[in-house]
Amino acid sequence: MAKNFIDKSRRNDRIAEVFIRIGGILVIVSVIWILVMISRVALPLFYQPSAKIAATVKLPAAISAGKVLAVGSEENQQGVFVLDETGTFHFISVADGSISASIKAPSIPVGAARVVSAECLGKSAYNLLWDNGAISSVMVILAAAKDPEGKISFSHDVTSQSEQSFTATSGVVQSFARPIEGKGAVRIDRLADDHLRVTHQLLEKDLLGNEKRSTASAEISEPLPGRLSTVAVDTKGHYLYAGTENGMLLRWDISEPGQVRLLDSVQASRDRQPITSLALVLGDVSIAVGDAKGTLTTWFPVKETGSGEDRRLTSIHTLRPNSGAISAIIPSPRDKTLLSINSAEIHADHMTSERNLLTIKTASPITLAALSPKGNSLSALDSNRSLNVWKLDIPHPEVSFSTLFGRVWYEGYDKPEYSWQSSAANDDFEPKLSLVPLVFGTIKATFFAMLFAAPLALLAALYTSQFMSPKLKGRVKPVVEIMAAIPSVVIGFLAGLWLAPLIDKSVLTIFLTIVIVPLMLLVTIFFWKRIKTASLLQRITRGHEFVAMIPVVILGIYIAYLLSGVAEVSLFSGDFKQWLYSSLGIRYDQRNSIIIAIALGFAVIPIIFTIAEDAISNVPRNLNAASLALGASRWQTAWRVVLPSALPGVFSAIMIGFGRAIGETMIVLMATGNTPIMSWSLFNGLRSLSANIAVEIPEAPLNSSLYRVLFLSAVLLFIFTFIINTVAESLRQRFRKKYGRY
Amino acid sequence: MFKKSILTAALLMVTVVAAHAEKVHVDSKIKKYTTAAGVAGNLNSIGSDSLNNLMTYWAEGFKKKYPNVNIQIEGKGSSTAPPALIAGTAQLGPMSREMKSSEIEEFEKKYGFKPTKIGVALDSLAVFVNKDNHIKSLSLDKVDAIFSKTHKRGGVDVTTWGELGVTGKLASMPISLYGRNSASGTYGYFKEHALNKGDFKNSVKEQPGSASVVEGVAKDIGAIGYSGIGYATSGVRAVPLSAKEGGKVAEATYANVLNGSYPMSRMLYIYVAKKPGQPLPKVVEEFLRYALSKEGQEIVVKDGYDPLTAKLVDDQLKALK
Repeated sequence: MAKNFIDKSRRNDRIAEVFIRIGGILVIVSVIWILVMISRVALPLFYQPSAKIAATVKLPAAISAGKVLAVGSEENQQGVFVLDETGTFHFISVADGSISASIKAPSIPVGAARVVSAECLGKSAYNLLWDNGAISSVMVILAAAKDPEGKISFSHDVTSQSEQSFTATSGVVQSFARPIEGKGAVRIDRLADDHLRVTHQLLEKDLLGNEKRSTASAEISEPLPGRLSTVAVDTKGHYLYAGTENGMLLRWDISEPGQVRLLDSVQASRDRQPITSLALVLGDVSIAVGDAKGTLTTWFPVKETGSGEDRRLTSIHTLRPNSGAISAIIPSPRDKTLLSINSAEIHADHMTSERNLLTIKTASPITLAALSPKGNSLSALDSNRSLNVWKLDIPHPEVSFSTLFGRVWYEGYDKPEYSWQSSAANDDFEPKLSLVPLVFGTIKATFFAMLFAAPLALLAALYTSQFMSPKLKGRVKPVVEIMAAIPSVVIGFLAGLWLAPLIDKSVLTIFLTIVIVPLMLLVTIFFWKRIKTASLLQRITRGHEFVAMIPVVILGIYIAYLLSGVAEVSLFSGDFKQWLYSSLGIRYDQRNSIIIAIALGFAVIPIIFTIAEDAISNVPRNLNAASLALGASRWQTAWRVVLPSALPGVFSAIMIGFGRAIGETMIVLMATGNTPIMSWSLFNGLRSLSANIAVEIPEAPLNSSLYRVLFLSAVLLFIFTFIINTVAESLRQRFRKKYGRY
Repeated sequence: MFKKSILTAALLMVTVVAAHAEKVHVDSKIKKYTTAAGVAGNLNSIGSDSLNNLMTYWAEGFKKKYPNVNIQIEGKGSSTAPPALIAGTAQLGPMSREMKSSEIEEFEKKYGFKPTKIGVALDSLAVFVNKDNHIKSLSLDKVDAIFSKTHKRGGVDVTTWGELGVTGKLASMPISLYGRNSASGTYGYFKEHALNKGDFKNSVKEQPGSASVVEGVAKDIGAIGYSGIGYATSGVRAVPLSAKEGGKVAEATYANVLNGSYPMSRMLYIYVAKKPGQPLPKVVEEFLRYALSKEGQEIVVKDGYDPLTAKLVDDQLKALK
């Protein structure tokens, strides 16, 4: 019988052991699996960009005769086109190098015979400057489609865009034409003797639909600081930029018809090196400047301190230098990537991250190059008259260690900053993906919440387990534990919409309460013995003392409330928040860290309380009894004997609370304004990593940089918690060795 | 998604009444809907969450007319519409903003033609202040100076109400900023049109829904915030706006939206993949005709948005042909 029983219990033990082991292993495996899955999404952020040569074609003999003015390719690297002097676009299939079509530009201006130069406008529009000074504008469409059998067919077309065409004029070397939305167009001419001329061709429609045409022209009259070397105009036709042979960069405002205004004239290269090329980065804010030494910098206007409204061109980013003079800069039509070309190489650099993405060595110098409208295909004509097409694969150019964790000088900002502003409704937006404000927000929220919760919960646990009557303790503990069951979204909601306005009205009361209530308690305790014997309080038995303290606390809060009114009038000229702002320059925001501390603390208190209370209660009673028998007071026993023995458990209570506070999402999301501010002030809000993920992931385009950065921040959060838990556990083990010897 | 639905539920608790300030009537020249024969099948819609309620109401009404039609509606945000249209998982793509050029390119690459956008309702974004704030009007230049850190409109930073000419207790009070979260179309629209593609200040409190923006402003005397006019409550006041400093000031009334004097109004769209020269599938076309009918536009008014005029409706119907 007994043997049977022992066998049975041994078998049960074994079964239980196997189950527990399997469970434990499953937990570890799934945690690792989650980490691997999150990391896998984030990992492509760090993939290296690549450029693969897709084709090299010799220009067909038919085109070789004339000069080639422009090249282009389609996004699958199957077709290319070149523009020759006669204004004909030749479409070439890269597979066999044959011409699949030659289309002459439509609506050639009267009297024009030959194209002098062609300017590519971003995607697939070209402005053609003809030999008599007329400009026509065309749109080139080239697309390749694969049919089910794998045969490639091309569709191509050249259409005219009449609103940007200008009639003949003489003496023009180089020209730019830009449409002005709904109002006509503007042309900017570089004339033979280093003159620049701006001509607005305005078109106004009145209510009856009558068109009124007028032209306004202005020439840049002031003497230039040096001989012009290169000129650029933004896509809206508002600003004109020029570089000179002694390294000066000039900027004019040409947005008003008939007027030009010099805004800037700055030295933009070292040692007065000639500026060899200029190009506007997508979005038209920054201008990229390349010089004869191969230096590549980007500039944009920045507000100068003390000059009020004036903004001056300032050097912002310095990209990796080229080995020789930069002959051309090609901005990507999709992001802030810049291609720079010198005699031996093509560089691809991203402006914001200052990353050198690619360096493509070229056999012979490139004379012409262009990116496809999607920016993933690069076509270039070299001096041997062969056309090269590269397939570019640049997955996340804007992400680098320095953009995620460093200060970055973003377009339009006055200084480099840590900034999180990830999305916008326009394509030319520069995403700001710094994780620093988010990490800061997480730490700040956790810090303040623990500052509020840990002392309250621990002292409550100590009192409940050591001083409270067991009957009462049996009621108090479950009530506090129920607090843990309140969904965090409810706490967050109440904190944001009920607590925030309440605290807004009574900040000073809260501060005074923090001082007055403990003070009142001390005073009461000091007189406790006398009060106790003198009154009804005698009836309060051991373990119920705190009941007597409740009126004291309430009285304390009331006194604080009364005092705050007086103090506000006498010390803070009637309004504490106003006084904070006008005297100390501290802004009081309604959704601030006090709210977070209280709301998040509310969520953390029950966890810390329960675990700590258990740990303290589990200290053997005989220790307690021995201490009391030796004449120690109750307080001495609790503080010197019980608490040290329970320290490992108390410590893990705090750490578990800490872990909960770091990961908490809904409370922070709803109670703060999610403001990515980096300041330790109690009076403003924050944006935490977890709330940020919750806010942004629903609409982050799948596999975009933002999507992957959000996953990266999840990995970061994971590592955070992992480190904290590991440290906590090892410390707990040490504490156990040191104090837990009973 | 579970958390999101809790969030929505919580926010619904706040939006007790989304009362419209004035009664808007649907243009009487808009024709009533006439039922067509042979309409049946499945209809999927994926896109904007601003349009989600409206789509649901339309779907209800449409199903009453055609019991054989099955409609699924998913509203996770405007940016989910283009991928769904491209993948063919939805025939309707409701969006609270226009497609970006990159999205149009993706679409063209798949279909070989551009997507067709059909305007279905008008919406005005309002700049709200607390009801006790007596500021008369604001220009978008000033709005930019209040909300932006890049000041693309060229103004000087504004931080207190006094700088905007408000007198009394508010004058020396700092301005407390409220706005939508970055995933919403409203955020994108405001950023593009009011801030001229600039950046928001770090101190703009991003709220998860339009209702909580309004609620935040109602509870904070020094607050200013933006969201759809449909969410206005008695605790807030929509500030009349002008496009430029010193320009003509207009309130966010239906009349001002129509004559274009209110600077912050936008069209809400449904995008469809329509091959030029060919009609849409019958069920898709009839749904859009229903949305553009008298009944459909009355639903628009009921949901707190502004209806189209007869002329606008005609323009949209032409695009359907």
